[in-house]
Amino acid sequence: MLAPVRHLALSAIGRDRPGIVADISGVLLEHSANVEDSQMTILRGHFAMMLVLAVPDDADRDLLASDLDAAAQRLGLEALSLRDVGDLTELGPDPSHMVTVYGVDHPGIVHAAAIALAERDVDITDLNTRLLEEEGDSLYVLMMEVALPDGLEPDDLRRTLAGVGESEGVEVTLRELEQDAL
Amino acid sequence: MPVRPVLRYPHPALKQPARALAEGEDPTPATDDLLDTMRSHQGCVGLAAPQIDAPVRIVVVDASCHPKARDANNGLLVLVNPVVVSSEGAEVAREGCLSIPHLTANVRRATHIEVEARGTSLRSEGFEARCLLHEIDHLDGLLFLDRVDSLATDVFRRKRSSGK
Repeated sequence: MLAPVRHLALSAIGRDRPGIVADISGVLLEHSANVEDSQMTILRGHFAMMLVLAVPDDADRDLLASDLDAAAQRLGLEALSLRDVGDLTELGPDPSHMVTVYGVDHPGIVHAAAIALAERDVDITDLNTRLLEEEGDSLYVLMMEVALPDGLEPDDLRRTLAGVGESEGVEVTLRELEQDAL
Repeated sequence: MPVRPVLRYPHPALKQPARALAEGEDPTPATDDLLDTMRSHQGCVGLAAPQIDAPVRIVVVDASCHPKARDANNGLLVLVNPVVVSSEGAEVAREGCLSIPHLTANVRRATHIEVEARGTSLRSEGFEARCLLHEIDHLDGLLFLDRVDSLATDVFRRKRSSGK
């Protein structure tokens, strides 16, 4: 029988340098914390990490937290947070479509797209943005994977998103995700 | 027959569908400028009329000098009102575009296509087919960013050999 576990959410951000993952994962291993789902990447020079951990029920959560804080100090991280999260049996919906938005950078692009999706009950399952500045040009790109609710026709959503494109002066496309089975 | 500036996004002309040439309408002026402009950019293997601010359905492609197309190409192609009439296969590969000069991206395209255009029809495959599909997209106001699957894994800042 598997030992009972509970789940913690760890997130951290700091100036990128070699060794951040090595140090943090070392602390986690000492505490028998299993890294389940995680995502880590560089955002404009800052290394950002989000992890959902499974720790044994009898783990010393406070000691884990203080060991992680010590690691954050060593690594010069700007922020680190460890929180209890409940166990979820539902792992979230599967994305069915991809929304691509791009245009000249200005505040409000993400919100305009997100509120249009929320109003149609569309779930954003993955989101990335990138600001690309070069020789005075600023191109902002937003890409989202989304799950459409039952009954929402892609063409309906396409019309809604076209309105966002018009009001924000950006290009918006909605495409079905390729789901090739090989 | 001048070399014309290549429009860059966000120039609105790049997002407009281009109009078909009427029967008998002479494509020469735009075609000559397209060829001159394509040849003035080192490594450029294709260009579409909207990129030089000519809103008509003309593309030029010449993949014959490109190492990826040496064994499979149709030489210099000047296509008026091109239409992709069939496509097969799928492959993801890296593309760049003079109209989005600072990015490259992995784009999924068909590997074998048939294209019909004024006075000609042809089959193309591999790298040349990719070029044709990319250029024909321009005629519909589509840029490669409209076809990318993932910003995190498929879009890249173009490496610069010199400059800053």
